[in-house]
Amino acid sequence: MTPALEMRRLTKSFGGLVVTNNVSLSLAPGERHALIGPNGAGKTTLVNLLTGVLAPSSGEILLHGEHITEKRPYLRARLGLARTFQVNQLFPLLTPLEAVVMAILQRRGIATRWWSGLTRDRAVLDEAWALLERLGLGDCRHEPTRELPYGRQRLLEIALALALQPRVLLLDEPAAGVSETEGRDLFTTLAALPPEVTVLLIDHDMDLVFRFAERITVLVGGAVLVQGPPQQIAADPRVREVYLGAESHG
Amino acid sequence: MIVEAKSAAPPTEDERRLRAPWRSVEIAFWVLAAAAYLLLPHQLPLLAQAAIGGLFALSVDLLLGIAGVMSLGHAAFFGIGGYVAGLLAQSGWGEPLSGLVAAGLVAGGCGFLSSFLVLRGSDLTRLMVTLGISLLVMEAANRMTWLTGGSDGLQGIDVWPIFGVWEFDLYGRTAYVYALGVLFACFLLVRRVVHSPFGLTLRGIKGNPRRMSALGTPVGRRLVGVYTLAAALAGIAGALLTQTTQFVSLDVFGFDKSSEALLAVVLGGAGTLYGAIVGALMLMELETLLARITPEYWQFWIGIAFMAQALYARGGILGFTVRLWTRLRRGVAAPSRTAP
Ligand SMILES: Nc1ncnc2c1ncn2[C@@H]1O[C@H](COP(=O)(O)OP(=O)(O)OP(=O)(O)O)[C@@H](O)[C@H]1O
Ligand SMILES: [Mg+2]
Repeated sequence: MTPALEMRRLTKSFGGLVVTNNVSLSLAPGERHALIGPNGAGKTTLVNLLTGVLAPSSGEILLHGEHITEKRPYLRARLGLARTFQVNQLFPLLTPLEAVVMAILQRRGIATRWWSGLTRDRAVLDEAWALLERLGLGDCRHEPTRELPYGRQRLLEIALALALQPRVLLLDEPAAGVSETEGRDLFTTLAALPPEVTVLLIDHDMDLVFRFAERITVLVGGAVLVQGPPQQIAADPRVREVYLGAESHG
Repeated sequence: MIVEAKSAAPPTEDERRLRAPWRSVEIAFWVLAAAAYLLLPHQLPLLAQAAIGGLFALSVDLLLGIAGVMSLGHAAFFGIGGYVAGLLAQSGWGEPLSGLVAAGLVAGGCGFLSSFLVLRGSDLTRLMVTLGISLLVMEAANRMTWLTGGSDGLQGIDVWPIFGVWEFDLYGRTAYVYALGVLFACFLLVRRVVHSPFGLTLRGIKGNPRRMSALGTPVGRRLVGVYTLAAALAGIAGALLTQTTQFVSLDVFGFDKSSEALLAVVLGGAGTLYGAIVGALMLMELETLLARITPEYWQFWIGIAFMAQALYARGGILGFTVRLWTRLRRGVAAPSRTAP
């Protein structure tokens, strides 16, 4: 079967610093994959390469068998590749409702309409409402984003990615900085995603990662250290050494 | 059960907010503007100028306040529109409405072409490039004396009556009605655009261009669109000035023009549309007032007023008024809310 997302010998260096080192990784459709590694391992950089924010120094990226290495970020999003950001990338002055409606309009390909109002398609409103409710943002959907508490903003970060109905979803530490309860709710939402959605999850919370993922890749110093099912990763002495060492001061 | 109740269709509140219906203050604003024709008969030439300045500022607000694109050279399009209307009228076609359309098309075309230069790079680069382009255009107009009349300006502009009926008169009556009518029509268009899917995308780009491209929006292309529209509107404003004053000179390209419109937008409240119009009017009144009191230092006092506004009335005059109004209302409403 064609992988949903495939990286072939992906390398990125900033000057002399190699941040992504010959990474080859392949995600099957519907796979729940986790990417872990100590701070500075190059996880976010990998997401930036996949989404086209950064251009790789060498290597290739394929989405559902299609070469996207050269494609601009907005085209990759249109092909069904969505992401969330480790540091919130939201719209401070827009309300959650406006932001989500905007993402839905974009996905439906009607964001260039300048002659009609925002409410012409009832289906867009219904969809926005359902999504915001699903993420528990229904009651604050009319407040400007910048006035929302951090936990809510974090949820909106995910809502925006889900509004694209992605086929491949890259989550860069979605639970970073949210409370334990919020984190649990968040993972309930993620676990309830349609099974055909391929998910690459980056997180430092080992409990969550091991419960969520079918396969785990450990990235250290920009290179893949080891890859395998959760039990194997948990038992691997190299992982313990590298990762648990980093976690104790992270 | 609760889950089911929650997944019901969105309340009409969502629809109302996204639709942005006309508010009574907005209607009052336009009624008042129309009433000025009767209430201030001696001010009409000045008010016509204010309406033109308001339209130009509105085009800058669309660019800066809505899409977040900074420009120091928007007067280039104002000037191009002014000269297109002037040249048409001079060469024997003085029909005003088609003159406006021609000016809008040419200015919009120039906006479209230059947008590819302007929209690269950061805010600072944009400031420099827009300023550079406007200086180039002005210098080109200055050199092409055979076409533009050089520093003497364009002479012999004969504008026909509007619809072949209403002649431009010395008291500025026709000029005011004409300028206000065009301002209103353009305002309707801009308001429509701002509250459309395209307009929401522009506000998104202003807020976070990076996220917009992650959502699948070709940010550059959207900005080309809004830059073109803003240039066309500026061109129409320039044409209005030529037609109502029957004259056009190189001043229309000036850096003063660009900076005044920016000032009007910021003074009135960026991104509010009305702020641009109110700001242009206030700036004009302020200038005439200060010029009368201290003919030499009026620009100094404008600078002071501007700084005071930046320090104490962020969000512009409109933002300040809205805050004051909500505070007053909250003060009145608070006791009643505690009642069971
Ligand atoms: N634009 C850049 N220029 C130079 N170095 C960079 C750049 N971006 C990232 N780096 C470096 O690349 C390395 C990997 O960074 P990255 O953010 O990908 O790590 P990470 O695994 O996401 O870490 P964290 O767990 O803290 O989020 C770091 O050492 C960082 O300093
Ligand atoms: Mg990171």
